[in-house]
Amino acid sequence: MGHDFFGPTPAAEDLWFPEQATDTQQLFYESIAQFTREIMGPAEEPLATGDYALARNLFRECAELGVFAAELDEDDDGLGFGVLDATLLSEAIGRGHSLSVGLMVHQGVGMLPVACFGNDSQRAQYLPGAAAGECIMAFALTEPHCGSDALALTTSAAPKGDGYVISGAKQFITNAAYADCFITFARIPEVGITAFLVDANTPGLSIGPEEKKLGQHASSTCSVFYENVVVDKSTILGAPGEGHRIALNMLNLGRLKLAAGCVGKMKTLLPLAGAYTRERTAFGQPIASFGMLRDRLARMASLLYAVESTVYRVASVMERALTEARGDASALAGTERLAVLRDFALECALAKSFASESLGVFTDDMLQLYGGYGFSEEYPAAKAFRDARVTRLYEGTTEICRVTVMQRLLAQCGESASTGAANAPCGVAAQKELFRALLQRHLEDNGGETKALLAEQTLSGPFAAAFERIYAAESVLLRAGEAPSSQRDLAAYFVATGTSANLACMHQISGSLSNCAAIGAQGYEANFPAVDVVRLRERVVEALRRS
Amino acid sequence: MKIVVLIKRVPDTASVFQINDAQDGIDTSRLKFVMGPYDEHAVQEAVNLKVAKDGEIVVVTLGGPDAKDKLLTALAMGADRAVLITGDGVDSLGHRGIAEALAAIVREESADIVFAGKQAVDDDGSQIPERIAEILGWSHASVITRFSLDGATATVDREIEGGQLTLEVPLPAIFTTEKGINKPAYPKLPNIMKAKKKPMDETSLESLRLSATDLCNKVSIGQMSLPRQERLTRILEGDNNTQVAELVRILKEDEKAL
Repeated sequence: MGHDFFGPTPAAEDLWFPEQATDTQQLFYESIAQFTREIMGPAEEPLATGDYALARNLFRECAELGVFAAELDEDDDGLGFGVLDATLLSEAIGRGHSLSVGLMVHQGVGMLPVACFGNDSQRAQYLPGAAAGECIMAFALTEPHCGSDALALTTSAAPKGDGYVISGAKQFITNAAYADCFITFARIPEVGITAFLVDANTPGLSIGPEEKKLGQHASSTCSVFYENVVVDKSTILGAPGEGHRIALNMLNLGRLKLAAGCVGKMKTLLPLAGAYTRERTAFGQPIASFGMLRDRLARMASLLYAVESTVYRVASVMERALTEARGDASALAGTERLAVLRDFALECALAKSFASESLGVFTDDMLQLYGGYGFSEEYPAAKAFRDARVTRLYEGTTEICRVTVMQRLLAQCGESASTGAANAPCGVAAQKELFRALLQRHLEDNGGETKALLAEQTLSGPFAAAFERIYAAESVLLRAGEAPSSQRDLAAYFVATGTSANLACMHQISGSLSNCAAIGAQGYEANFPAVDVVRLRERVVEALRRS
Repeated sequence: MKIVVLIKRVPDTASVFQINDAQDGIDTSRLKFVMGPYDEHAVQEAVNLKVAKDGEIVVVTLGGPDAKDKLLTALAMGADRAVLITGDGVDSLGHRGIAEALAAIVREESADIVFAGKQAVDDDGSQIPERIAEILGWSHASVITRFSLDGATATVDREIEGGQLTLEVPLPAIFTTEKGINKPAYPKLPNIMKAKKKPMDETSLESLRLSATDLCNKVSIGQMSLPRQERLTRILEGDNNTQVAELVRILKEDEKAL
């Protein structure tokens, strides 16, 4: 089981935050960041026009840097990165432009299933080439008529002789135009969803035209068609009928990495927005001096801090669980590793929805700071805005992530007792206890039946959104405890601004429940005294200027 | 062949600098530190030479424990071993003392070639490598933009005002690098992971048989201040009409000149 949200809050010293980065971690982060700046940066425009040779070249250069081998075990000639280092790596890659997603898909959901579930011959066939950036991997799960409900897929794998015949279509497949191998999820009749390693040159496999996307133009996204594609049974990854396990577990880790990528993007964008608002003048003064724009700058800075704190809190609890599971062994077998990661579905889904929704607010704020130029492609805000939008869609939409969060939370809530923190004078602990009490009351109203809340999404949505902010608020406070005052200001600003949103969510929830007075869910605003948000904002914006 | 590279940990010049409360130095609490940008070229030149001619690269710096991360960077870039001169007295050294300490290491290592950046970008002293050459009685060539080695003679290019010198320098010798000499490669992840397993030794002035008292800096900083902003540059945007309208407005409203 992952972290018990309703149990005791973890101790700050058990968590890892970026301030604790070792020299080695700083060095590899900076090295990758430099790669994204100097090599990927100038390639953005030609990639957007479909220069696939250049894309393949960037995969090779990224491989030379060692990115693709990072998470492989040393037995597979990898560097043995754990979850924490892999999360840092994803953040650094995320700083780059939209080919980042292709690189991460290759390294993550492309290579890791082979590393974790592949047999010796499959690993020998694919991993060295993939680590060298020569054999580009793609993950073919989504279909034209099933995205969020991926397990309803209809691509079929009919047994024939010693193999199977795959027929169907896949949609929105990243790297499709130049991928060498597609991890293809297809249904074997009466067996179930199965993962196949299908080489791109297999007869019957064809690639559709590039999708005309809102953003992320440097990455390739196409349909993939399977017309009677004959594959040998040796191409099955893992066991027949086990494909859903591979797909879902891989997406878990992918969600955390995507959240880390959002951190990288915010870190690249925030200084640009800050500098612009100091240079651009209106009414004779820099626009950074206007209060309404300072609100946006402060929100951007605090969202970055909150997402970063949340992502690394999740990464550190996962790292710890993996270290404990490994014990004295030098490495954890792939399937064992995934068994541990599965326990953190809640945290990964939460990190993903919180990070991508925050990036949405962040890039919207950025665009607004640029005024009319925000709408012009001559300035960076428009592209940032367009590129960010899809992070709320892929690797599980915000809605799917929130459903996952609520499924897991309901399971935990049934087992937990009140901590009594609702009577605490104020703060995040009180919000958390109020949340728990509301959830429990809802369960009681429905005879302990969790299905009702999951079916009633107008209620489970606010629950999940409030939970995200409470988890993030807890994370910033854990991180900022001993940190310099500039971090404590960021944390306080985030908590203060998030609290009012949470109270609104909980107000909406309590209105639907019976007898809320008994759990103090009405009039609870009194528990959250007003904070001088403007004073905090000024300190946050000033620290941003000096950074 | 033994190659020694001298590096320095310096503030990133892209940082926003502020003077400390005592007004005798910069406030380092919020600064990001990097390896001296010219030193990166020195490390890279040593790595290139090692690839071409083989040998061992020892990277050396002087300072507190914080300086270790930059030694690690050099190890990740391809140096084989690192030495940190640290401990009592290193903070009080001036240029002469630093040069004596580094020269002692170069002597101890029996180096054939020393590379260093042409200057550190913090105090812009530009004198340590030259002083070391003097102490050791070695040849030296500064601000080089090309380096090649044939036997025991190096041929280097040195940019001068309006032209270029090509020098032949007998080894042992010390060279300081200019930016154009090479393009430092960012360290690859496997090399970064290997770097922490490479030896990093610490030594002190005492073990180098140097006296901190004798070598301490006789010059102290009286006061440090930021440059006074004398001109404010504003760049007007838009077409000519917009720019002129804005210029007239600035002259009238902001500068009260019209």
